[in-house]
Amino acid sequence: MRNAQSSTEPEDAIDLLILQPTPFCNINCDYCYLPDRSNAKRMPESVLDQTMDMVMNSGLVNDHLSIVWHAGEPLAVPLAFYEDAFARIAARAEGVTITHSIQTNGTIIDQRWCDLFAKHGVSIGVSVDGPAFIHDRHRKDRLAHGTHAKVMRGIELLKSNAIPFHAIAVVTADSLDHADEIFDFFLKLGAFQIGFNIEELEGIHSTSTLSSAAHERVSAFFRRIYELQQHAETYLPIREFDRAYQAIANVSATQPARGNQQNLPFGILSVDWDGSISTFSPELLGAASDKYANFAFANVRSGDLAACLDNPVFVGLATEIEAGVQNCERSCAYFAFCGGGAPANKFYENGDFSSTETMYCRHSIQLPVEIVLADLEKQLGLSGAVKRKAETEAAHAMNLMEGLKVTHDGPRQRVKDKLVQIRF
Amino acid sequence: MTNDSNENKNKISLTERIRKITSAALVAGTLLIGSSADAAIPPNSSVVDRAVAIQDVLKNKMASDTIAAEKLPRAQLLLAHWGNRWGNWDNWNNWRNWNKWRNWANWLNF
Repeated sequence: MRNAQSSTEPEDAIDLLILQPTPFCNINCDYCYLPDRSNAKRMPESVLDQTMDMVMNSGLVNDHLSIVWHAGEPLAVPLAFYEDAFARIAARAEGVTITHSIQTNGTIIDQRWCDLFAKHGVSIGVSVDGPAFIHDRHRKDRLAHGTHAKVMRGIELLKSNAIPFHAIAVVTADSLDHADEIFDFFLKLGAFQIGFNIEELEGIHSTSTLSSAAHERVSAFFRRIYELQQHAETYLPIREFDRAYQAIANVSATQPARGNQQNLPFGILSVDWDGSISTFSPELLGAASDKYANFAFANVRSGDLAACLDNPVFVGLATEIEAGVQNCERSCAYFAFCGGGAPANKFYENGDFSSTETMYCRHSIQLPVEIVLADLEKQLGLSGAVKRKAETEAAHAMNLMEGLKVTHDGPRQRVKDKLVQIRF
Repeated sequence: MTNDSNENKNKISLTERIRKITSAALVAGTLLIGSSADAAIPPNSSVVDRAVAIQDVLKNKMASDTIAAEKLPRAQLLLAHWGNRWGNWDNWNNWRNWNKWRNWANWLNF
């Protein structure tokens, strides 16, 4: 059923396929952005089959495809759903290495689930915000009881089965004064990596406790986490700092920034339980919007990725997102570390996909880069020299500002110029 | 037409169509920019130069045979790790010590 895709360029390939087995979630976190989490519908076999046929025949898959089961509580469907789904996917992806990942709230994990994870090598992420007194403030069940104890039981099962897992913690204003307790918790947890998601404005979650928190408080939190990480006897990988290291180690003054899959059509492909196709930021899947037709650009039952390209709403959105990337490139000193921000955050925070900086940018991209840069500069004796150079450049930049449009001739601009030349 | 040739046609057309849409978006995006954005920061910002300066110093430091990896602060070892894993640092002549460093990096659960 599949075709070999050896010639697909990496920038054209589907980086991530997000499948929504169900929109339902058994708990009721107060910061959740998902709009339909009381809906217990389940992805039918036919939708899964049509999705995989569409993906495998798209020409956008190389020799590996990462599938993330998400956008609801993935373990809220019966275990047999995955036994069947994994077999169906394997049958349609011959010759392609499939990696399955599940991001779960952890409350449903039992021995049978652990057996399934181990049997299929499923990559597991557990959402846990830290110690109970922080976690239970926001991650509650449908009776408004904290879920920490249930999550920890699930994690203990993962550990007793030697199943590796990462953890994702949402950072709210309640977290900011407890960096030490949170770090200690995760240091002992046994996860191979921690990701700190700031509480974002997305979907139906239209406010964030961090909106009113001073940036200095958020900054102090992450600086303390970094300090603890650097000096702990056991090294605890933290996603935000790993990304900063990756960017700092590979950024170039002469080469274009790495692409950002959230800004590329089908870089991240999302399919909901009913077959609706979305792309760009995963958070857009199922989000309500009259202007953007709820971000559903086609349906696998009757269309495919080509149908998305025929959809003027999709084309309009792609245009706005690209404008946002260009605006980032021209206005943000951190563009090379990021590639243009996150469309969903721009939309929900600024009301405009062509906008630029968001709270996510400030807290999750810029701040970790600054923390790591400053530490390395101090260690390597670069602080003074860099400051002097920065001051010189700032003055130079001011002089160039008026003529920036005509002097901007970086590698990315040259790529754009070439694209414009071959415009159909 | 065989299945293979059908699939190949689909592959080419879809990829090209995405590129064309992106290209068109670039043109339209430029028009949007003209009215909505302030061009305040040059593309090669000082933040990038700070990172490049760090890369240069650390690469030079690693070129020295006298550097013992286990004596390095964790942050420098992490940067070296990601430079090697994601970038092309291992193509540099001054990475002759990398195997020694990599062994030490195992301590960091890489």
